Amino acid sequence: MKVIQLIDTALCKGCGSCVEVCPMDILRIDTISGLAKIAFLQECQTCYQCMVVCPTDAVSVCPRRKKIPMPFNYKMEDDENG
Amino acid sequence: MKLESSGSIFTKRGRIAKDNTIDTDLLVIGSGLGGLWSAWAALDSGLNRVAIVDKCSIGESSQSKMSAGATVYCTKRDPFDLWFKELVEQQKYLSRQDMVEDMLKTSGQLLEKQKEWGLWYEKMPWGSPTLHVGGTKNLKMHVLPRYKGIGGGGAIVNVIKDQVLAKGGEFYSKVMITGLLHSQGKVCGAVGVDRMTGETLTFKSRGVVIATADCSFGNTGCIGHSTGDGYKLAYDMGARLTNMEFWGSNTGSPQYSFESISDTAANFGCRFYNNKGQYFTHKYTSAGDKAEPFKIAQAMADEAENGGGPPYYFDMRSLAWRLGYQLVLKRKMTGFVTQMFEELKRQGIDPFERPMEWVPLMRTIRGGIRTDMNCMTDIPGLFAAGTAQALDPNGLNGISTVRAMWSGQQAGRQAARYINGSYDIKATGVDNLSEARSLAVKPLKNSGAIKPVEVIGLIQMIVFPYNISLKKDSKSLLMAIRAIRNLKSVMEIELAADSPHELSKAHEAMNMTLTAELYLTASLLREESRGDHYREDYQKTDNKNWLKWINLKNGGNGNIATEIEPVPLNKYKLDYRGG
Ligand SMILES: Cc1cc2nc3c(=O)[nH]c(=O)nc-3n(C[C@H](O)[C@H](O)[C@H](O)COP(=O)(O)OP(=O)(O)OC[C@H]3O[C@@H](n4cnc5c(N)ncnc54)[C@H](O)[C@@H]3O)c2cc1C
Ligand code: SF4
Ligand code: SF4
Repeated sequence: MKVIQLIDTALCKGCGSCVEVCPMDILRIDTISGLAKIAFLQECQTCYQCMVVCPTDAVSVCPRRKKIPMPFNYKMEDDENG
Repeated sequence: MKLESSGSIFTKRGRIAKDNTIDTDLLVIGSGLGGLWSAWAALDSGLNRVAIVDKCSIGESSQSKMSAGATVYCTKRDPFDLWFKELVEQQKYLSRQDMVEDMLKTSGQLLEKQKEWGLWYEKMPWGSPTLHVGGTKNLKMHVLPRYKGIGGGGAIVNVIKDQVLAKGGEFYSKVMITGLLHSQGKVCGAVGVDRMTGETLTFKSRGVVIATADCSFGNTGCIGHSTGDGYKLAYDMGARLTNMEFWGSNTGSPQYSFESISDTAANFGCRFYNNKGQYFTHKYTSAGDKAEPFKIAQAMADEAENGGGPPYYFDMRSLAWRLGYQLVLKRKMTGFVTQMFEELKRQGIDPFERPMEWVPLMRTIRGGIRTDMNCMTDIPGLFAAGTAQALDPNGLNGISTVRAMWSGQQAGRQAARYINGSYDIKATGVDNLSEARSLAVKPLKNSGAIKPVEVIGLIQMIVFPYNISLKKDSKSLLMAIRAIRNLKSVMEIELAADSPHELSKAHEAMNMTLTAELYLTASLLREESRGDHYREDYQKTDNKNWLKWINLKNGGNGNIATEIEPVPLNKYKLDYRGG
């Protein structure tokens, strides 16, 4: 699974813009360091909004997206009849 | 690539009283094009206080912003009658023709207004700013919007966002609305939770516009946050929803965020292959690769039954497409596809070099909240705009944005009119304030064992199988209805959240569960095939019996009340004259 990969703490200035724009509520400002952190990685949707908004190029998002639900992955079967 | 943002994205809060209450004339929920145009129109019509609330960032996280921003505007030079006919036909005669007519007729004015505000459209190499809408013969859309150095959806969002700010609209970001307030049968505000702190906020208003978009069931297109929230808000209040059996399908890459581009690309000579390297779409649809996106998705399902896939491939090596896309990529676009291209390029991957694996993808529910021409729902004081509102069952590229602008403007103006003539809420009091506030945080108080992300995974397992999504049949639908109801009853006891983040996800899970139930119920009722709705056991379009809308509403005790309403074609401009 590939999603948001990295927030470079050497570059991050803690402005909070990435936290603000993330539609999936993945990011937070760390209370101790005051810098951005990835808090809920699994729910990232690879939409790049955090990367676009970051003023210091601290955010990297991988272009390969996580596995998405697709109709062909499975078929609904009647569990009662096997 | 860096984008300038017009206005600070930290336009966070307006005026909040000590008890976390916000008094306003109008509350607008959702800040995409639908919400922002509502807010602007309400302020322009003389309302003093308009609060716009978004569970993400105002404007910045909406579908509208992530979109390419391609928009159908019918200007004085365009053939209105031809476009109107084509749209109604595309929407399989289930659209609200009165709305479509007004939307198209006034869309040219919307374009002019935005131009006055500084928006402009780039010209294509052939000198025109427009391109054909994929899957249609006549419709054209303006494709490359620009505003203050930004291209794409960000341009059309920021132009209206700046106008709302200039007129004094108050922005509340990161607040998820979880329930509406009512007073003597009228809507009078809402309750929400702050996603950062988990605090409850109360908005007291004299009218509410729902502009929360549709539902993707957490799937593709970077719209995992479109979770049917507005559907549930309206449903809980007793408003009707229509066309919920339509779930838009399209095709795209399973690996990269490359999707919903093939309808436009096919016009530039791009082609689909099956697993044997053969063209196949023409076997199932006469328009072949140039067919509407859902027909390609269905052709993939048919071809699977004949052993031709998956995998399928999409060949984007056509020179015209490559050149066209490079033109787009040179622009600073806000949509995610542009960023993905840049990242691919950085990693040395060229998507135009060889055919890419391609699959059918389910996108968003096409139905929505039923309103009158003024975008008012069945409930006084409650309005709906954008894709949360029911206007047409078949989304077309370029129509979703213009319909959000049109319905937003309509809802805002009518809400202002309604509010100016309505009573003062302070005199009557709110009927359900403590109940709404306690429901807002209920999952935090629950000690159950199921987490929201697990529920979302289960919903996906119920709705995504292809005999539920692409090729439905009654047996599978009944099984899925049983499964979703079981899930709902387990959730009532077991769904728990232990952080503000999980609290908002728990609400999203509940909203998606309801949306799934509405989708399955309407899908089972419509015993025919029409547009995106394909029934394996009723494969033909049945114009004799099914030129009808299916309306759903809260029937109490956990039941959905259903109503079948003939489309009033005799009152509409275009009647169906086929067999
Ligand atoms: C990638 C992509 C490309 C597209 N390209 C095009 C195109 O080129 N042309 C076209 O016509 N259409 C396109 N579309 C579709 C079109 O952009 C949308 O249908 C349209 O913009 C929807 O506008 P809206 O105002 O209804 O919703 P949105 O713009 O999605 O706004 C809804 C807002 O409501 C907020 N919200 C939701 N629930 C709550 C809640 N409970 N509380 C508070 N806030 C909430 C959301 O966070 C969001 O900001 C595209 C869509 C995508 C995703
Ligand atoms: S890529 Fe999108 S979902 Fe993932 S962290 Fe960034 S903004 Fe959030
Ligand atoms: S936007 Fe960039 S600088 Fe600002 S908090 Fe996020 S990572 Fe840090």
